[in-house]
Amino acid sequence: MLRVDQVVSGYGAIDVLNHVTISLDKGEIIAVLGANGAGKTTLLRTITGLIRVRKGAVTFGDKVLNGLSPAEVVKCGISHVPEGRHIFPDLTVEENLLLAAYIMPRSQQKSRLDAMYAMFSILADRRKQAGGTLSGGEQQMLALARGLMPNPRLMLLDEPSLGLAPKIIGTVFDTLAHLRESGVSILLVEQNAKRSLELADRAYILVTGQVALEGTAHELSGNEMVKQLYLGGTR
Amino acid sequence: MSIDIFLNLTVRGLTTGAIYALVGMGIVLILQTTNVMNFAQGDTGMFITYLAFFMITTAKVPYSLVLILAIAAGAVVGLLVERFMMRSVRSRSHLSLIMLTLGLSLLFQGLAAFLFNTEPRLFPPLVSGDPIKIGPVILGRQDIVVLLAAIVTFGILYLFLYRTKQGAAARSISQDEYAARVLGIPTPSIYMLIWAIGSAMAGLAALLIVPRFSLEPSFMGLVQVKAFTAIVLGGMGSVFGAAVGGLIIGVVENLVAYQFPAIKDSFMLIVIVIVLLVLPQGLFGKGQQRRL
Repeated sequence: MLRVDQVVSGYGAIDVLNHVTISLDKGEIIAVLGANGAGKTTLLRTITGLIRVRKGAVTFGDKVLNGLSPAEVVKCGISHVPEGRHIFPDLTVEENLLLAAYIMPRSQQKSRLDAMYAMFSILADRRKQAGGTLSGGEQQMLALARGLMPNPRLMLLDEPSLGLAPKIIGTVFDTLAHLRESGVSILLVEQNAKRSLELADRAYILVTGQVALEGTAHELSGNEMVKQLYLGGTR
Repeated sequence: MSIDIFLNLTVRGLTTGAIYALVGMGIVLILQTTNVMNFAQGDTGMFITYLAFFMITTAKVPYSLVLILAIAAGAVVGLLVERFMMRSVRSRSHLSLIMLTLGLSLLFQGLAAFLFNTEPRLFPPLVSGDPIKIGPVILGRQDIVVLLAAIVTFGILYLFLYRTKQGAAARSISQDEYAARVLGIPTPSIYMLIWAIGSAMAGLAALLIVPRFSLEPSFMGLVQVKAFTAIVLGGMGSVFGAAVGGLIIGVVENLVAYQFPAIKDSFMLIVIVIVLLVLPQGLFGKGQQRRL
């Protein structure tokens, strides 16, 4: 469904991604692992049109995404939950959610909003509260709900567990597993390699802007290099 | 100073303050959403006033239509400025955007001088007739229009920001522009819309105050300085702060001018310095993070 084909992109004079090729089928959860600076976030930003594809192609279904604006990419059915959540602190929970479905007609916005409140009851309780007053875990739920508002076929998640208590991380990953069942495909970028490999179908390891390793999550969990570098090592 | 004089000075100060508020609100709206301090706000209004003058004298547009046409012209000017000037520089450096507005200010002055020459002209008030007496206060008809226009504009702006999805989008951009883009909000069209609204407000303000001066390319210069004082006092951060700041400046200025006419204009610079020293957040500022 999603194909990132030999993509080069970056900032200013520097190419961060060097001929990265990644694919994702409908209903899959793909994890992209790698150290800081390996290009994980850049990969997501390139797919969503926040930064330009310099070489190669990004296609979604039979649509070429190269050169589309972030707004147009959302319209194609891809949403992006950014690292650090980026909740609008002074807007209410409801305003945060509605803005994520900016392009939708009013009636559709309303039904998506109800669906989100049904899925995340904590957000329904806090709908009139300013986003900045939520706890970290609640903000992550709001960020996930914002990602789901436009009813995407594919969700890009950047470090959804970052800075959260272990118990909340569990809730986040349970939510992601639940999303898979509802038919949303997920491209997950994570530092938490163990959790990600448990959840994902397949995974890619990025090292300095290139795919160093790819395979099923099961294969990669057993790989010695992966164990050493990302799973805390084994003696 | 008798109480009657005090009341008259205060009310008359409020009408002047309403103009500063209109100019200031436009500056804050553009500043908070697009992160650009628009030094051309006053001269945008000046240029639109010239266009209105042209409509009246040469194109013989009926007087009742001029206000609406001038506001529309302001919106179009704002749209063009964003689309063809600001947008292409936006990705480069922030400083160049601000310099660009300074250049824009000179451009409008030059254009006005070139198209209409610099001869000062009289611009008649939108409404004429004898002043109206309300209790001890005597108020010109145009002054009443000014007050009403400021109140209505503030109301419309509030409804726009808090009741429409474009307004919510503008507020979201002011808090976290990156997040707004990630969510798929079409930020370029919001910027265009905000420049259009801000410039229309500049046109309205200039058109309402021009009868007190004469129409010449520099007539909005001092008004803009006062509007800046108003937004510093209001705390840069909020449209509401700019409105209140404008009214306070208008009243204080009028009272000072009555007692010490010589320092009327320089007094505002003293106010800026004092506010920045004693109350750098202004009256309603909340620090950096809140922008609308």
